[in-house]
Amino acid sequence: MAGENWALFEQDFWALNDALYTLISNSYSKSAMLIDRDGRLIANVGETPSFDTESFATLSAADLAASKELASMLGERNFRNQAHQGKNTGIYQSSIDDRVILVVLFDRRKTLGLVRLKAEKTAHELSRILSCIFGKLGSPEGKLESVGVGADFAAQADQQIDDLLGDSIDV
Amino acid sequence: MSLISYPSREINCKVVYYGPGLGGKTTNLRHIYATIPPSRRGKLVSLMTDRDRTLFFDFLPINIGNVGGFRVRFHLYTVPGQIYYRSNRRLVLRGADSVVFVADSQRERFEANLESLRDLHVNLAENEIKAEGLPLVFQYNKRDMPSAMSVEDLAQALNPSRLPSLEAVARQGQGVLDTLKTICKLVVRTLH
Repeated sequence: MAGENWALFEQDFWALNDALYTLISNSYSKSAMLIDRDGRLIANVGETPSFDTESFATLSAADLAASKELASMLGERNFRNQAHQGKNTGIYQSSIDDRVILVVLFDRRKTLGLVRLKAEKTAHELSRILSCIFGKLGSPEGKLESVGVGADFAAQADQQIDDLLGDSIDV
Repeated sequence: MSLISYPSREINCKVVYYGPGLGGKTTNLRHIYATIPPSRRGKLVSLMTDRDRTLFFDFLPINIGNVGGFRVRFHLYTVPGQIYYRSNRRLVLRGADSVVFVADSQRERFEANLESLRDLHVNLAENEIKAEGLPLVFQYNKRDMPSAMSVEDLAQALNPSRLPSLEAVARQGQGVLDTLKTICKLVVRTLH
């Protein structure tokens, strides 16, 4: 296996969502997302985006990963956060514990300073929740819940894969 | 590493198409994009140079469907094949659950295949991904080219462990979906 799969359970999911809701409320932002460092969307609160969130998450992760490489070339450990401001919308991105990325979308009437201030506060809260999540995955509690996909999962998945991509192929 | 979200009942897995430059990785994704119903795939995102070469990556999310109450999705990526984009390849490979190695069957690209395979192993190690046990499928592409080497010769050099392999002519769509099916099935077996 490439690495440990990681799982997000109900209680942690809502704790993350609460932190993001507080952030957009306090910073008057449009929406906030949490993305894992490999580009997968974990949570998204606020205005329903009109764009493809999966692609957005992937590009955000790539953006921050490229910035980290640039930082490394300059002898810096990381550029922990970055912002892009357009005519109507701005993006603030912050890496949390090198595991996940917090992305805040705000409109041009709001100041980047306020967003940054509130996002930094939220980052500490998110870091605490994430530590609990990753701590739990190493414990018996986490392993017990991880069995939830079920033993016949692979057989069911094979069927779905064949249905989508054509005739059966055995591996 | 796959992300399993119990609250949203989603499982997301990452497949990276690796191989030498101009070997057909992007062509694979374009064929998948053109073949799968729009309701089951997202947009094909390509970060290209102005000469239509992959600069950073191509990305295509596909939705396999509902399995055991979970929506199972695969995120397909390609890496830029050209030698000098090594750092980009390392970034794209990060967090990969599986790899499809797209080899170019043409004799004149033999060395490029070997170099790309070595590069894959270096980048896996740098990303702390264990090659052993990683779902890996070989696709011998460009089987229609006059200088195509025999599959046996390619396998001996590139795939001595005889991991799953398929022949393909990605430009015509041959072998593309079978390759995807093979890697997807290997990945779901790692999710228990």
